[in-house]
Amino acid sequence: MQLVVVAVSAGLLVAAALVFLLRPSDDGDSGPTSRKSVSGSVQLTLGGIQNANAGAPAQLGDDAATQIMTALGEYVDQGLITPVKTGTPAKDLSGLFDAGTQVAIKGPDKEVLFENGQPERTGDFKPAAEPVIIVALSNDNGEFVLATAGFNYTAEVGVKGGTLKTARNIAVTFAPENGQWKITGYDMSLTREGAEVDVPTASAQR
Amino acid sequence: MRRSRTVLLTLIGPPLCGVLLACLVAAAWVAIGLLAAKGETWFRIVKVPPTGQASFLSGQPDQVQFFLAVGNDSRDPDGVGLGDAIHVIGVNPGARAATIIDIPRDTSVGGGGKVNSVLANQGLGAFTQTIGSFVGVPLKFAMTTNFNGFERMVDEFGGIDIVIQEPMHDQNSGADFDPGPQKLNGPGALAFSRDRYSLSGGDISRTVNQGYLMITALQNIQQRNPGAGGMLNLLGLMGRHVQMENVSYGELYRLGRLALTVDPANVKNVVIPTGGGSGTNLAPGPGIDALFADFRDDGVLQSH
Repeated sequence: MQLVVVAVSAGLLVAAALVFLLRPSDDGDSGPTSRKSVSGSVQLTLGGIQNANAGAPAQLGDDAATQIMTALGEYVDQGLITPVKTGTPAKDLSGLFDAGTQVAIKGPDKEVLFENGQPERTGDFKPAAEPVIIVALSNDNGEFVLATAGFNYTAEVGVKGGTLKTARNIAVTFAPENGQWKITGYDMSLTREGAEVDVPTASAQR
Repeated sequence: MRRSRTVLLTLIGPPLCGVLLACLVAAAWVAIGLLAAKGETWFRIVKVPPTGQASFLSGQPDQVQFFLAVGNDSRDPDGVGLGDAIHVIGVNPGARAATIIDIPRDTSVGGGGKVNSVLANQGLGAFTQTIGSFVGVPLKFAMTTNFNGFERMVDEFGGIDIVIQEPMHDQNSGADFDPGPQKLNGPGALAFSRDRYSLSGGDISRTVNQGYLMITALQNIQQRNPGAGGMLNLLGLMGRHVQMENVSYGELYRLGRLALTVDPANVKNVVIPTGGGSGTNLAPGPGIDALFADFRDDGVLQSH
């Protein structure tokens, strides 16, 4: 009889453990397929180009502007949006950056530049981006040698306990490298408020 | 009856325990597998920092940078005249500090005539070489602007807010400033830079004033916080009005971004010591070697 009691108890424990580990979260989330809207996406638009001419007047070509916008779009989509949607860190985007930035983007700046899928999304996701303003510098010969792309990006995402709001002020500097415009620098400030935000006891800025 | 129970326990006890243990392991394995499939981890981070900053520029200089900035007296918008405002600048990226060494235009270098004529007669390259040899520093690049270029540069920048240190009223340069805060437009900034007659120290004080104007301009840029795009606009402005040698816009951009991190209070402005010379020439004065040595090692003056 004692043996039966032990066996039944152990079985119940196993069942309870399984139920606990596989249970839906408090808000009904039981995996990616049952989460609320995941349609959040951003269509980056070009708000304007300012040509800073050190020499004769010149205009940034469509090809260069398109390259810059394409790179920015990939950064926003893969670096900021997809991680929130999937709950996984951003994929490797080092190909968008030049050689000199590689260490920095994989170091401490990584947490500011990219989303890492945390905290876990449990509700709607609403990203938005203001139009991108490009400032492009041409040299004495009219060749464009540097360009910055600036815009503000915001996102609201439902997480455990409420809504997490994120705002990024982004300025990305591009330089041509073997015919491709690569990111050679960046200046980004990030602010978060709402649920799952750590209340600081000191400044978190570097 | 009791004995038969004992026998039963002895027979099926160990296998049953084994089965239960296997069930537990299997349950844990299944749970971990399912969690992994969801892309989750055991130690989920639930809090994120409220703020963050990231700023980086590929290829930022980490060594001391020496360069030459010269104002020349040409009235021709495209011309290069006498090098009348001569400043060797050293920037130390690590210390976030800089020094401006002011060289009066009448300085006699190498026993020859006034150094300012080298620019007009031999060009910016030769002038850079002459000044670099004189100070004993490797001048990475040089830039010069004339009257018209200087005025337009200041105007397009939007003027310079400056605190005038002493009364400056001089018909020759057009300076007409009382002490106190002023906003200088292009012609005003040129007059401020040229005035020597209303200053007790004459040309020496004028040279120091030019360095002061540069530090003030740096302060103005920092206060206006141009950002990355604004810095490109500033470089475009500069490129239109300044003649440069041995520097690319990429390098200038990096140096400009570095300059934005240097507190103007950490920029020393020192005129070289001069003594008597033939005519109006100024011979390098006592202590000049020590000054240059102090400057040369790291671009920062420790004992001056």
